Amino acid sequence: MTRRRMAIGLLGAVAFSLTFLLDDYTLFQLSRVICIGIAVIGLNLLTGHAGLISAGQGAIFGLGAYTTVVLMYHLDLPYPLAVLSSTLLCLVFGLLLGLPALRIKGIPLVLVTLSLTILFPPVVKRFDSLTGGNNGLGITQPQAPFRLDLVVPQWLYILDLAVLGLVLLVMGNLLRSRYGRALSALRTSEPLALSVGVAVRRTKIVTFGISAALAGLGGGLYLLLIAFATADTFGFALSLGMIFAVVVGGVRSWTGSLLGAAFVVFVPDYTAPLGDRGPQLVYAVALLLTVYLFPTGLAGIGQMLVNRFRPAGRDRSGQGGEGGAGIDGDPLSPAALPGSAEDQPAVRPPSAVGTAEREGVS
Amino acid sequence: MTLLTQQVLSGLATGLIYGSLALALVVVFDGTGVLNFAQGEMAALSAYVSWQLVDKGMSYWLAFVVTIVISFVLGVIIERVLIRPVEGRAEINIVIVTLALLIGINALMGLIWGFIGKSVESPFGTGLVTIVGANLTSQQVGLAACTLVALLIVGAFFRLTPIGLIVRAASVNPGSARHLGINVGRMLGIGWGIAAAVGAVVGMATAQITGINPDMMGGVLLLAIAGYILGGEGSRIGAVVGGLIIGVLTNLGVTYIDWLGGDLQNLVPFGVIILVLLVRPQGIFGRVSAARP
Repeated sequence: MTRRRMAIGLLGAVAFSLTFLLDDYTLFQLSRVICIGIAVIGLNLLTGHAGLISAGQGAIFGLGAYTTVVLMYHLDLPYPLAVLSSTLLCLVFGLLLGLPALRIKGIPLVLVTLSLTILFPPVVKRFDSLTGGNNGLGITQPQAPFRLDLVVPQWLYILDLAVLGLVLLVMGNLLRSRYGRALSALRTSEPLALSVGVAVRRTKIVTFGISAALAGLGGGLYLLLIAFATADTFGFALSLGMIFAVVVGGVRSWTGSLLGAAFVVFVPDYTAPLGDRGPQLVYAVALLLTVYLFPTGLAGIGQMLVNRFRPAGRDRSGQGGEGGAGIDGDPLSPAALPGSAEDQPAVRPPSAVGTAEREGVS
Repeated sequence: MTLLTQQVLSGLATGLIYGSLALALVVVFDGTGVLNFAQGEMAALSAYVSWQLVDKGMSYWLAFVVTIVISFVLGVIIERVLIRPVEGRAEINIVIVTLALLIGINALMGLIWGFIGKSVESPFGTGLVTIVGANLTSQQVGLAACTLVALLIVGAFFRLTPIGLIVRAASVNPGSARHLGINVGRMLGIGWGIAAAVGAVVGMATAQITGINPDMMGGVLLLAIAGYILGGEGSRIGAVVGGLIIGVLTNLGVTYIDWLGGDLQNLVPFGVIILVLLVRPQGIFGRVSAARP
């Protein structure tokens, strides 16, 4: 474990030193990766760990960004307070969103969250006195505090990096906590979780809350970065991009989430020859490749390479948990459950689950 | 009052288009348990194919039929090549594949034909038809008749022909069907083909109203999904009725509620989706025991 800690510390130091090595544009792009990555980590918790597919993460990200810009523009709130408020607001929103999700999952849940995504831009435009409507709303970017000799992109990169470190620390501990165990039981089998006394409803709602809070946090930080909010930034493409980031990066891997976010941010820079929709084409191909050939995503590929070059006999002990999960590891897969696919009902009668839950939760 | 009948009738006319696409969604869902998010883009692709054929000098109606055949084959191929390998794996896999198809086909169409819309000459002329005091364009009536015929043919196929019965058997109970010697995989492929063929009719009909561009089917797909959810998962009649209701509701909503103008008209289908899923998840015609074995 100490080796692991050393590796993480080293990685952190390298990431920090990039502040002084890279040009402003690259730092800006890396900061974008971090902000979107934080939201993708939230979505990964929801989709990978709880098995709930949401197409609304981009809209909640947008809600966070707009809350931040509105608070800073109209109320002159200092930016740390604004971002924190966005996170809390999105947390509450996520908890509320978790309520209907207790009744539905799978494709119906995709549709409900998709409606959120499609309706977000027009609704934002409709409340134009608050949000600036079609014209958008801007703020002045925060300067580095304590008269530090840093330009804005450098300061924001350091800020985002620090927040990311905090998020990863919290998430790591959370998954090892009682809540994390409950989540893992829930993923394996809902009846099993109920039978060992997991509060299934509460766990699901809390997961939605945390996931949305991370989206809000990422969105708030993103707004500081781009300094100007327009509704169409947070449309269908962004939400879709976040789902892709989870899948292509690697389900249930935080490293994968960041790799996926990097994929979504950097691909558009290299697809000019393919025309306007070049990124889309690359996403589509990458997604299909992931589904058919590399179900563990980029993180899984990385893990495979590491394992190949690791000297024999020094296999990593413990479970690690990063990288090897794969899309099929989630509870919706008949293959993941014992018994043949034919034996497993894809949809359980809701009544049975309901009664069991009433008995299981005091 | 005439405004009301006017809006209801034209709502029904467009509702038939949504209902047809919803029917395509049901046929695919019945067979493979997938909500095909790419159904709309496949329809748009069909519209481009028909445009290309007409552009090469084919007559409209010949191109119409040829496009339906091509689309059928394309649907079968997509099922065989892309969907079959992920069947039986986690739900997210299939969702991801159809989403990838959605953006992939969309980008490909843009790459091949560009993003500038192509207009289609209507074979129905530009006259007005008066029905119970309401004026409809002859184009609206013609398109409604076209989709209605397509719906009837598909309905008759499933209800009256032996092969339709076999396709239904394969999707209702794949296990038993297999025991009876039915090639379930091939039947699911036929289901996808039929869905694509119905989608082709929808695509060519929509093309006459909005012209052809890569994004033409996005809105139609949303409305079709709303109709499909409203009608009830797995119900073919429900899908058509749901589509009709959505068509009328959207029309009335935009006409009588000022606040819904512009982009916000999507509030109608999505309001319906959310309401139905929360209040009556099985829809109007759906059975409660809709669990797939």
